[in-house]
Amino acid sequence: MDYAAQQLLNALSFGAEYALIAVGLAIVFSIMGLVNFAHGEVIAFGGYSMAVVGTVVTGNPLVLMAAVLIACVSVSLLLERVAFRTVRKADITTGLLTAFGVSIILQNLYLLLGSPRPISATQFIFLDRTLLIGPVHVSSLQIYETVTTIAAILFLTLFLKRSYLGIAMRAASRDFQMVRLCGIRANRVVATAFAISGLLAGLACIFIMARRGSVTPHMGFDPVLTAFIACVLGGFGSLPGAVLGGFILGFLEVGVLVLLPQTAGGLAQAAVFLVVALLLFWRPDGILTPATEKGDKL
Amino acid sequence: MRTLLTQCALGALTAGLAALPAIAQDDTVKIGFAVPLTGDFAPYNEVDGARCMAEMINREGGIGGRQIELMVQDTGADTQAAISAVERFLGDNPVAIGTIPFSDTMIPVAQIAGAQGVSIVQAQSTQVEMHTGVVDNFLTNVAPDPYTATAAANYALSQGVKNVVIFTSDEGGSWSARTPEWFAQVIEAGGGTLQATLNYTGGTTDWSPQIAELRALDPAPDAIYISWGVPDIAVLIRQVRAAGLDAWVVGSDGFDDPSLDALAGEDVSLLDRVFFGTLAPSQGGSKIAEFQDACAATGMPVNGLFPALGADTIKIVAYGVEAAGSTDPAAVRDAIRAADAIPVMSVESISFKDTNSYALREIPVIGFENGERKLLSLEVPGNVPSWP
Repeated sequence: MDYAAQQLLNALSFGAEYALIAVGLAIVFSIMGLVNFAHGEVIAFGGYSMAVVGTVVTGNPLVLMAAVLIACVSVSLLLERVAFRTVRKADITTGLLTAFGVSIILQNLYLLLGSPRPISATQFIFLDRTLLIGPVHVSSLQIYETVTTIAAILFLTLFLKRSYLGIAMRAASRDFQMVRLCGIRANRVVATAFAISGLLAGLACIFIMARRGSVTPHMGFDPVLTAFIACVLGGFGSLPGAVLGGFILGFLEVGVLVLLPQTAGGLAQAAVFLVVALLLFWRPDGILTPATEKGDKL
Repeated sequence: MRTLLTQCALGALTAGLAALPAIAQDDTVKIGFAVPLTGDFAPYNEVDGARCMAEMINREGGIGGRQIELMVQDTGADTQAAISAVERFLGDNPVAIGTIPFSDTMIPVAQIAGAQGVSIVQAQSTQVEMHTGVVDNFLTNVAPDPYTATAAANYALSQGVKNVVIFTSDEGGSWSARTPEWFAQVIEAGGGTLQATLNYTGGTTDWSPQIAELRALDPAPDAIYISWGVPDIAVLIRQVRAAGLDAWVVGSDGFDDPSLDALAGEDVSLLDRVFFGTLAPSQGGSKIAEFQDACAATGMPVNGLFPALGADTIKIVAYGVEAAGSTDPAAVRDAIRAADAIPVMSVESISFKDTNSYALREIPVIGFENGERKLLSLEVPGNVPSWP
């Protein structure tokens, strides 16, 4: 029983991390139709910023957290301005290729200016402590991450439903041209989406760095691939879908690790994707496909 | 008459140009490196050490008066890029080539280079697949994985380890999938027990599911073994300790990276019960540490074990060229294989005489004391499990 509760919490934590990154992808996609594969490099940029600020300026964790969030939002806005704005009206594949191009360029910049080796940045490690809740050992980081993800999603929902800019973003996700005709500046709406995406990348970066204690050029790419699958599974363009997809993937990964015989361990990834494929067979457009004909995507 | 003169001049020019590569071949000893300077495998490339050693030899007059010339091209983690780079190098008559140290690249590259008689000389490849006779022109400067696994297991047994858990993954080929099994075989042959085999995937930043499995074991494991690299290993060590488990964390050469040592900066005790079997002694005061200091002093920093081992590649090729008295790749390879002892940078000497494709050498087991590396044992293990 304790063991089951332990693994359940693990699955929840895995899911929370995927959901956090998946929402960052989904919010940009819902506005621009862009799958931003450079999102992982925004996360890595946060890690490198932390390493630099932590070495040169201060090791104060609160200051570093602020630095990571500011760095991720700033680079996300910069990428929107420099790389993605020019292809906004282009075909979806152009955007996809641009995102991959930006991702590769950033990874190589990290390699050239940093190092292919992990660069140590351990100021957030203190977040990861083992707590004993009854018979169950819980990582404090898992609690922080799950709570933060839930809070971020609630905040985002409120923002999208109650604020002027949020309502404009929801409208833009349905009909961008109409929003512009209503006098709302397109650049502002898109930039806000990228800023929110950067903020979520920053939050994910803090938790990833709290586990790893080091940054590498490719550290964001794999989580973003997983988050992309979460988005597809939940229904691309749907924020609740991204969250649901993230949690389903988290539970699937831990479930397969626990239930699959270790002799068949090499099939773990295959087993996860088999279930994902079956789910997509059932709901080809994702579980929470946006009701595009009836109402909002968001 | 004018046409005849022009034709003669062109003929002489063509002949002269044709002779140029031959002169260049005689003048320099060319070694190609189609290696990952970028990408996931970048930490394993040997270029920095090779460059520093080549510079040292060149400063002292080269190999019998011939200067060493390195040809370096980045391949990332892409086999096809490595093949393309090697095909380009072959046009420049290299004596030897190094490439991405994984068998899915080394085998096709060796086959292509073999058509021209050129050897693949790897500084750091431990994969057993390369020693099954699939290619004949392959040499590696280090002993295969079963040796490092055995040395680590022997040391674990000497510390009273009985119950072990191994972590396996198919993502690193036999290095990550089979090396733990060889470790477990030696433990079991020494009277210990393999309690469980746990799987993982590369890039893991949360080992909680595996740690929950470890916690459920009764008795608690004395040691866990994993053949994988940083930063994942550092995360594992930290999370195992945070979960209150005091099992030894044992590993292979993947642990042998300066960024693992950085854990001591966080908490010295994190590394107290960590050790690994590796390719060559690299602790403070070792020959590798001295070489790295010498390189740093000349403005050519060589960080980490894998880059440092590139110096051995240069020493091996230099020995072969000198012994063969030629830069003919096949003659150089024969001279290397016939040698009783080849002096290298990382240890006194190595030999391929009995093994043909890998250097049988003493395997160090490295641990930590107060956060500093410490040599725990150094042996050529005699109880290596059978491997293909």
